[in-house]
Amino acid sequence: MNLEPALEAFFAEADELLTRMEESLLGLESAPDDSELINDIFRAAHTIKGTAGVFGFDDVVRFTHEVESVLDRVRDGEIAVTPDVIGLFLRNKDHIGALVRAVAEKTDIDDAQRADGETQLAELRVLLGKPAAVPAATGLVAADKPAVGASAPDMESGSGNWHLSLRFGTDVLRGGMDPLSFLRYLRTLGDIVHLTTVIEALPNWLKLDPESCYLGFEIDFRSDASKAEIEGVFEFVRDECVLHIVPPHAQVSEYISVIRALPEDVTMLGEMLVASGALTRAELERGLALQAGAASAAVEPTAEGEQPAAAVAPPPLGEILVETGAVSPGVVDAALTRQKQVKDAKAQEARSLRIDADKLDQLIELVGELVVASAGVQNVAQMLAQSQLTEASEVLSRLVEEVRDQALSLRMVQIGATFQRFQRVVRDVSRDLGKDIELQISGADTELDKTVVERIGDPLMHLVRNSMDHGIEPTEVRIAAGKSARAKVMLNAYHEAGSIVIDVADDGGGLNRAKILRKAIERGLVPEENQLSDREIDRLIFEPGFSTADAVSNLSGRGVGMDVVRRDIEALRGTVEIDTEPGKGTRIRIRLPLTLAIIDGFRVGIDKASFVLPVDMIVECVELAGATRDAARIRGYLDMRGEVLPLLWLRQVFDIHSDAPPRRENVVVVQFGQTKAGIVVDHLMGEHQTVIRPLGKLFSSLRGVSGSTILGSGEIALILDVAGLMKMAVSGTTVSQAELAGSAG
Amino acid sequence: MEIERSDDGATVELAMIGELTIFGAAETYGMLTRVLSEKRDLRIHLGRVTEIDSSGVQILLAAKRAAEKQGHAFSLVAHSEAVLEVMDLMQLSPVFGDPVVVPAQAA
Amino acid sequence: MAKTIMVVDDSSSLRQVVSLALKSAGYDVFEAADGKDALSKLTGQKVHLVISDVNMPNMDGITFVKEMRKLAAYKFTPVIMLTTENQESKKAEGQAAGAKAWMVKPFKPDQMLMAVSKLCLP
Repeated sequence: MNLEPALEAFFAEADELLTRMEESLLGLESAPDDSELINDIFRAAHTIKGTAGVFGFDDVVRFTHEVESVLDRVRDGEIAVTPDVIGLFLRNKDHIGALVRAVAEKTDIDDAQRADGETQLAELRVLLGKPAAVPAATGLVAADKPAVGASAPDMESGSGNWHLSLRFGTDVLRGGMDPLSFLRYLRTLGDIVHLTTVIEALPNWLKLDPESCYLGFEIDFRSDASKAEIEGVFEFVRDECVLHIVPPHAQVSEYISVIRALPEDVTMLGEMLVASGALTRAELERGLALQAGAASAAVEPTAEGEQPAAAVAPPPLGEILVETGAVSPGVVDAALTRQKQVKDAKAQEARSLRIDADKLDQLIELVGELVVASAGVQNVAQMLAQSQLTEASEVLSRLVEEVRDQALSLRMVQIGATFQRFQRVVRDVSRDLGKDIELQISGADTELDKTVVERIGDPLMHLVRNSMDHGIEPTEVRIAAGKSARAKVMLNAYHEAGSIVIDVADDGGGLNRAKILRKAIERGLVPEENQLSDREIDRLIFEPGFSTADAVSNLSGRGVGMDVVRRDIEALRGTVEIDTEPGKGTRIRIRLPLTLAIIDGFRVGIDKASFVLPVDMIVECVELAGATRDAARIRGYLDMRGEVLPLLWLRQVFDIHSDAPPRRENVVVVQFGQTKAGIVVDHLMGEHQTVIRPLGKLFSSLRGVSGSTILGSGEIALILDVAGLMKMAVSGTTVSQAELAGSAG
Repeated sequence: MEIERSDDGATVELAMIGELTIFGAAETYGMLTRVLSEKRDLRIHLGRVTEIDSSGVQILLAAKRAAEKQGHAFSLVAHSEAVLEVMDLMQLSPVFGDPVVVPAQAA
Repeated sequence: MAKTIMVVDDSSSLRQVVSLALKSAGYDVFEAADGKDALSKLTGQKVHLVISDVNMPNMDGITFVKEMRKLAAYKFTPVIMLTTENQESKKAEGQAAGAKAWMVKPFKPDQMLMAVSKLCLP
């Protein structure tokens, strides 16, 4: 048989795997906790060992096996990744390469290499806690072995051995499975110290079916294999045979100590036992099936027609597992104790309750209605001017306010989880950028409205990436500037005066104002002759279409500028500030309202209808009358101190007709982002706390309206969507002009 | 699977030749059933058995029981290497109780 | 005497890898490209184990096992079926046809050898 083509493929593959192993090892130097890198390295060694084994390159297999064993421990966190360990692995990698090359060139490695290999093996064995000099000791061990076996077989069959109890199903032979083949394989995992072939099931000659299997075995087995590995020997007949595996005593205490140290998130008894190795997954599944069977058997009458015991609860899993011999009572007790400990700890730690978010929203909606109703009561009380009623209604309204605050606080969630996601982002991105950046998080327990948390992720992501990409200088620049090589990006959240503040800060180079100004002038964002303050220059980065990146990187340059960040935050009724110091760093401060459910509204009226605008979007209000009014009607815009202010007649937007046109109108100047527009209304009715109620699905496509609210009088007012209206105002000017011209003519 | 029968007057000797496995189990069972019905002492010659599996062992065990229940002798002789390997694996020598000649190289 | 294994799979590269692994462990191996091909190659010689894919052109693995079980020389030959993922219904069908051992693809040569060793050591 010609192995050459397959061999070529193996050498090429080994080469590639070793290169990757080296890359990952080098990567591990800067990120010693990166489990993916460790996995990569392990896989490389494993694949080389596996394939080399197929080809019978025993030297490669023998050496790589030890490397793989150590890597396995590293992967499990049992061996720490130190520079020494990485150094050893790098030498191991070179040695594997030498061994593979030797095979490829059909030569032997030279003596120096061989000695080096042995040294490395010794070092690996030390890490594994094995005696370093295994080859020298082989003779001794071999001489010892039979003596132990011969002199003390009884001791061996005692606590130091596994005990396997096996009964094969009658059909295994017919399926081509010979119980003997499993016994032979079992011997490859350890020593069969004692075996009894059980033939009690063998029937009388005339009843014998020669193709059925009647055999069973009781086996004392000495092995380092795990319970799952031993069970795995019988995987192909597992469903058709009865198998009990009793671990050695030493193993039992091992299981118990593992159970005691289990992490707290493993709380199911079965899972705890599986995690400790005392129970195999297959045994657990069978135990659960038995439990389910017992539960249904308790309901149905038995075949003999006996009455079932009334509503007997199914036996506990632990009891079933002990009865079927899957685990020993001691191990189950340890697991139950641990389970109780964890439960108690949890009960004390967090007396919290999970509530469906929808239920919460319903509650808040009701509270909103309560606020409105209470305002109504207060109106009536004032009208009636009855002192007792007034007093009572005041008490009521104060309580309602408290209820409202409490209810709104239920929607608050901690921002920690959102922040934590950035750890990974910072690690990955900094590696891509070749910068050494750490993320510092503070205020992770700061609470804010669930909706805000959900919507703040994208803007934060952009800001963090921007900081890493543009804010943090290359390492050489940092060192030259006398700063630490490791840069910091900080995320901090806290409450301040009724709002939430989130800071995204870095200790990078700060904004380059000269460059920003130059770019802004180039792009026509500011006239050249304008004198701008530092603060004004800083704010330019939030202008639409502004990007200072000389070369657009694949991280920040996703075609999304800082203007989008600002728009996202403003859509949450928040603000963004920037504070930067050249050479020291930049801090971007986001300020958000505590909740989205209640806003400070400004009520305006058209005829008899009421509308609400968010107060913080209003710049000013101007009366529209006389000649100015006529001119504005014709032009569709207003000359505001030399600035063109597009106008939108709310009356037209909502198609409100009235017999008597108003004598006076008012313009509410609103600002969203950098754009201003004027909304023309009849009356201004003042500020008013507004509980936002979302519109039904039916109205979801309605433009210009973002929700509704109920006024104290019981009237309904629409809450205007300023951003949407503004788009209409800016783009629809000509339309309204044409319409107006038509109606005038 | 082939079975050669010889008869020295007192004992019937059956020499099993080839595989004593599930593939020939039904055939072997038929042959042994006929011989057992003769109610004679039985000797099974295993020197030419090239392979034996669980079914083969079972049949021998059941036959031994059946013969002894009738009050007749049942012995296994000249175990081949394949048979010895299985006897050793299943630790059956005490069960059959036959003297076993262990070839030097297998010790 | 080395044990003989037949590998049935329509992918020649998979056959090659499996064969190489088995040969390196000391088995004799012969290959067939599908169920039909495999049946034509079963001419009464001793085969200790059959490793067969499930999905194959011409004749699928389960039909092949059913047909193979009709031949006296292979009535009880152990079979390892190779399947791509958890085709539970196929598995039940295959086990009824006499294919007790199942293995999920992809597997490493080591795993393959381990599974084979459970049924017959070289």
